[in-house]
Amino acid sequence: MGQIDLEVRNLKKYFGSVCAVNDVSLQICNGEFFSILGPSGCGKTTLLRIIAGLLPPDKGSVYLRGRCIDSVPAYRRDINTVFQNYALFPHMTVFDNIAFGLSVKKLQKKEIREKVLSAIDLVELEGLENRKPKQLSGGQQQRVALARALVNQPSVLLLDEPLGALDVKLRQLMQDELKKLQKKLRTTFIYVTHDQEEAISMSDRIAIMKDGRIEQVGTPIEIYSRPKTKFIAGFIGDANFFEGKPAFVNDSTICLRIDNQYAIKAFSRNQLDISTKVIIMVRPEKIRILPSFQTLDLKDNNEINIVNGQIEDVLYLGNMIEYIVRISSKTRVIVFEQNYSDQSIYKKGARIVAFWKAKDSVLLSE
Amino acid sequence: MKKKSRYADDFILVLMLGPALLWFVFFFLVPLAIIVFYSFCERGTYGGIVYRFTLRNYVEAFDALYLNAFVRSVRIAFLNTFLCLIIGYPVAYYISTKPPRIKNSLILLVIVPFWTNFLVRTYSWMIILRTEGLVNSLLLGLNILRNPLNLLFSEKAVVIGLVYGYLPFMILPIYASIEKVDFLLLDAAKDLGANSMQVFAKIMLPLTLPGIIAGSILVLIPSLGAFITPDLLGGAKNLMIGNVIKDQFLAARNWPFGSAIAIILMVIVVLLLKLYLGINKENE
Repeated sequence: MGQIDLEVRNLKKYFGSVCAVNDVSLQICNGEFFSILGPSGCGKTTLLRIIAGLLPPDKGSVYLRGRCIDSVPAYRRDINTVFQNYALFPHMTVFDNIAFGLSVKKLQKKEIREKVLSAIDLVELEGLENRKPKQLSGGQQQRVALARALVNQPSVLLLDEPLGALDVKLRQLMQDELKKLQKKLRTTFIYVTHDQEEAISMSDRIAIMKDGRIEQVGTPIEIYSRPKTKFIAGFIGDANFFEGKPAFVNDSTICLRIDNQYAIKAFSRNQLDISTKVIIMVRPEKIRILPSFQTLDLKDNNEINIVNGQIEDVLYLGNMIEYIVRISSKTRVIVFEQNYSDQSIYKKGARIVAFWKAKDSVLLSE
Repeated sequence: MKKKSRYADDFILVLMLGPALLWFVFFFLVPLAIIVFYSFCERGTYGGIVYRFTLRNYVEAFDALYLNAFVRSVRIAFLNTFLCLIIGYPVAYYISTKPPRIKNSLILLVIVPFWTNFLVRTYSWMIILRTEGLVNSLLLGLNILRNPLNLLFSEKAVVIGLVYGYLPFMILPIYASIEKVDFLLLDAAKDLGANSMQVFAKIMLPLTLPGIIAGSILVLIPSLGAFITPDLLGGAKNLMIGNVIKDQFLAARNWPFGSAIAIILMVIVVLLLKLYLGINKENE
């Protein structure tokens, strides 16, 4: 990745006795689409407000292109924000809203006009220049908020759940457009959201936040397929968890016994202690279902985890089918299968064999 | 069927509007008509009214003495409104930034003076402002002054008394309009590069303009016709038009002339209001 655009070091912010942002450090590169993902109340909006300069941190510093900007007030920071509910100025037209940042900087009228019109063009709002925000739809308001921030050509654009108020279809459309816009402008985007799918599909990197702390930073693939904690695995997508003390451990392999029935294998990079409790996570779509052992090719069964089970429930999701499979009296697993053909659905109560590759078993820490 | 139900609707409408309508007619329109009528009558030798048409009352009202009172009233009323605005706005803003519980107590404090009679409160200002009063004793005691200030019975005293009396009427509507402003808009403006002055001038002021206008009207109009405050705090030299009207009705027993001046005052108020609302409309 390129040079670092924005860096925060050891940020802390308390509200009363609650620690909203707890020792957060991040480095965000030039031109990156960086998401901060977390459940509501995890402190992500607070973090964004600190970066924007709208809230002073209790501890820590913010650096923009290597320069500490702690003492720079919000209105002098080369950072702009798209607010959650857009915060459009209700008494101004679309044109005046977008022109606001330029006109307070006392640019020439002609220059303002050119820039605003090209921003309007960029977000495809032609013909709506003289409307008031109240006369616009949610999607249009969102575009005005975006244009109003982008027209200032900030080094970093902060987006606080910008699509949260839109309906699903429009949200997907805007996701695509935002991503394209970001690619075109190469502006650094810091995107706050609680929507996992949105973060995964749009971001170059994601930071997972929980209770004011950053839990993991990584690319969408890293976060999804190699989550570090149970919280992250459960927050990003669905997951099956197996917990217990390992029955067998060597340099690269670990074996976990489940309900005295199965031994589940996972690979580990570092040597684990046999006495420590481990959690193994398997994504539901990594598990395959077959009617019986005969249909399974066991050439490299060392690399495969196999369990017997009975279909307890079938959920038809349209593009996918979700099976809930009981593999022992205590344990159930969720399995997603692509809906190849509507005929191939296993019936409730059917006895099946479920298997997945050992490398798809992910070792987690608590 | 349709017709019948419409009559029923009309009946209910009359029933609901009836009391207000009766009140309006008997306690507003009829008295107003009487005053208009009196203003064109002649005065009897020992007070009372002689029902003979004349325009003399209106001609007399433009005598220099009364014209001065008109001019003084308008000047004092505008000064009072302006002072209430620049004192009241920061107070209203300060209150609206507080958490809800403190907000309500502060608003209560703004209203509390209304629980005491206005006359009594104005008398207490006499005690505060007079030569041996609170202000002077304090300034003399702290050796800030050598000789006491002549505060009481001056235009200053009238303005102080009016600002004191009408300030709540300015604070409350401005507070209500500030409460409606989404403070996130101020953050957005800051984020876009506006300093505090620009945030105020471009966001806060236009969004609270309705409150400013409402407050200004509520202060300007009653202070134009004020008579208790100038009577008690202004002395003989600082007559406002309200005093003239009161004196014509009570002391001079010249009801027709008092009525004429009252009508002229009302016309001035209506013209000012029209001007004010006209400016407001342009801004919208």
